Formats: sequence, structure tokens, C-alpha cells
Amino acid sequence: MSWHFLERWVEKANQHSTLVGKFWITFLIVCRMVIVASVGDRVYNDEQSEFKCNTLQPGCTNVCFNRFSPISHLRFWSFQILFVATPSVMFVVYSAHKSKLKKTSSKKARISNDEDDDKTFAQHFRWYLANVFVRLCIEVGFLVLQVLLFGFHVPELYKCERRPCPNTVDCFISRPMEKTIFLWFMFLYSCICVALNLVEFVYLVYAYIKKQAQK
Amino acid sequence: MSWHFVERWLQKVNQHSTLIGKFWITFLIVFRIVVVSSVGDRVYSDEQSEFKCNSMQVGCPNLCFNKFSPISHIRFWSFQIIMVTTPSIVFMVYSAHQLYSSKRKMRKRKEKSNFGFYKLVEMFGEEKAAFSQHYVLYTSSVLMRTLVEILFIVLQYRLFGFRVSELYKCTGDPCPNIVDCFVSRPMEKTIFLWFMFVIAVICLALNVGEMYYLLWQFGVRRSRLERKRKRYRRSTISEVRGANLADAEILDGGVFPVPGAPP
Repeated sequence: MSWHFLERWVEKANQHSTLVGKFWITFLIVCRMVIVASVGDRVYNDEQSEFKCNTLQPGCTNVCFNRFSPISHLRFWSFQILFVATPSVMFVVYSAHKSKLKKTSSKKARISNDEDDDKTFAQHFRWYLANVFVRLCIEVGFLVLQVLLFGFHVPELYKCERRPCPNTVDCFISRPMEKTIFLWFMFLYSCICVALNLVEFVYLVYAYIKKQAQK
Repeated sequence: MSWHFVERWLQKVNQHSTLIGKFWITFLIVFRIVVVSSVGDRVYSDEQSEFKCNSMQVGCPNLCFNKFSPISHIRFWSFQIIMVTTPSIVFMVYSAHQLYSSKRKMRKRKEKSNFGFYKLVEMFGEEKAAFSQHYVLYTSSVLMRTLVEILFIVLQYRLFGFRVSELYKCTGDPCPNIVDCFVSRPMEKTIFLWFMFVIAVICLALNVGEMYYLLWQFGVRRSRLERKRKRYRRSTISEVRGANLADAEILDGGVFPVPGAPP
């Protein structure tokens, strides 16, 4: 698994974050990436081979599995991690670029301008706030999507009525209880991440308003 | 396997720990993470494919395996590792952030507006000036860790017991009547259960030991502080209040984890 690429970028985002942002990154890496990249792999790798339908009709099992699970939980969570980390990675790229430009221009000018510093900070702050807001929206979006797609329970039995299956066929899912536990675990961690993002957003807005009022 | 994420963060936690804390991290990495990520993988990889039921009924083995093993031992121990390391990692993140932001503030400050704080820093060093808060948070993280360890030990006993049986008698639709199901590698899994239980108990003992050590040190430092406070009251540096000194003094000695100190 090549999650270390993303992990390195997200760790750079760590340096540009508030304390709450750092907690969010910790939860993202330690809990979600480890679950998706390592722990979940064994649970879900036999999800199709152990999906047994009570029929000898060729193709019926395939069709029923496809209907039951259009996207695997694991793939859904992988996409979630990628989308949720994207705003932070974008911000890191922007921040590094601006920092490099500033170093080049201050070397040429040989004087540091306080007004320019304030302007840069304000711009930085706005982009960071935007990054947190977009992250929050994506987190909430995926949370709602998880509930709509998978619910909170993986059943043991799935009744399938699709061609070429004759009539209604009973299909049995592999490790439903373990998958239910995973659903709950990832749902709870997503809720924690949404809460952290919300707290960070509210804190940043409050700090901005306070600073404007002081001026 | 991607446990190296957790390992790297734990190594950072190592820098912020007491000696007992470092032993705990070593036990965690060597005996638990290695076992779960490498050693245990082979033992449990065929747990479902080799779970054989004495029935040709389609779906019966699935149902019986689900009833027999709602959660695999390996997944349970993975969750245990993640939950047990979370308080320490959260503390490490907070600690690193505090050090980073205090260093930044010190650099940016053009005037010494808080004379007392700077006197404190001159006398006791930058890190120790912030230590008291760190001490409370570190102790809290150790306490949380201890509680989580206890929870998982009890949970392991309730869910799995101390033995994996060779035979599991299964009833329920679609299995007809009672079906005999045979478990894969029961003795090896029993050994693993015992091994991980003993390691968890040792880790719990280390955590309890560390809690006791921290509280005992707190008591010792408090009495030492009282003596020093009496000396400082007669000191010419009257601007620094006794209360401020007390906080920094508690951390004197370098026994406690100091934020940003080398391991």
C-alpha cells in the first residue's frame, strides 16, 4: 500500500495547522489510514469469495454481489481519506510557494516591510480558513453518504432477485458482524473529525473577528 | 502493513515520556504491534476459509463463522493498540505544538512586556517555565491509557475467554438443526490469547507504576517547593511572585518529561 505518499504531505500540513488542526491530522492518520490500509484489508479481502448464494446458476453470485455492494466499504473510506486530505495538501503547496516567493523578494529588497507582512498573514489566514471550511463540507458530505449507502448494519442474509438468478435467491455475506463494527467505528471517527473541523472553523472565525475589532 | 504510521508517532511520544513510559512504548511496539502486524497475520489469515462446517447447506458456514467470531482476535488487538496509543499521541501533538508556538512568540516579542515570565525563563529555562501544565496533561494521558488498558483486558476476557475450542455447535437459519463446525488452529490461537493477555497485564502494571511514580514525585516536589518558596520570599527578586516560581519549581530536576528535551 502506498499511503505513505499522502502521509508525508499531510505531515507537512501539520506544520501549518492550529492545535485543533493537528489533532484532526492525528486522527486522520492514526485511526483512519491505519484502519483502511492495514486492519481492514484482511476483513474485506474475501468479501466476494465468501459471498455465497444458494444457487448453482453461473453468474448469479456475481450479479448479486454487485447489487449488494456497489462499492466496498474499504474503497469508500479510501476515497474519503483522499478527498478530505486534498484541501490541506493544496494549502501546503500554496503556502510553500508563497513562502519561497517571499524569501526571494525579501532577499532582493533587503528590507522587511511590516505592512507587507500583515497583508501576507491576512491572505494566508483567509486561505487557511477556506481550507478548513472545504474540509468540513467534505467530511459532512462523506458522513451523510456513508449513512445513505451503508447504514449502520451489515445483514447476514441478502435476498437477491436479478437475472440470471431464478426467482429469489438467498445470499450470505462474509463476516457481517465484523463489518458492522467497522462501520460504527469509522462513523464515530468521522463524527469526531467533523467536530474537530467545526471547532477549528469557529475558533478561526472568532479569532478573526476579535482581531478586526481590536483594529 | 502500515503500522509504521503509528510506530513513528510513538517514537515521538518516546521523547516526551518518563523511563517507565519508555518501557511501556517498547512493550507496545515489540510485543503488540509486531505480533498483530506480522506474526499473527499468518495464524489468522485462513480463519474463515478453514472454518469447516459439517453441512452442505449454502450459507451455513458463513452464518456459523459470524456467530462464532463476531470480531477476529487480530482486529480486536488492532483496535486495542489504536485506542491505547491515542491519549499519548494526542499529548505529544499538544506538547509539540506548545513548544513550537512558545518559541515563535519568544522570537516575535520585541519588548519584554511580561517581566515575571522572562525572569522565570532566565532562572529556570524556557521549557521548565511551561512544565506544570505539561505535567498535568501528561499525567492525564497516562491515566486515560490505564483506563483504556483495563477496559480492553476486561473486554478480551468477556469476548474470547482464555481458550479457543476445536468444535463449535451452530444453530440457526439456514443451518438445519445443529451443525458441527471445526475451528482452524485452535491451540495456536489459544496461545496467542494468553500471550496478548499477559502482555496487556504487564502494560497495565507499567501504567499503574508510572501513575504512582508521577504522583509520588509530585508529593516530593511539593515539599521541596515549600522549602524553596520560603527561601525565595526573602529574595531581592520581588517582582517574581511566589506562585509563578512554584509552578516552575515543581518540574525542577529533569526527572519529568520536558517538552522538546532530547530523549
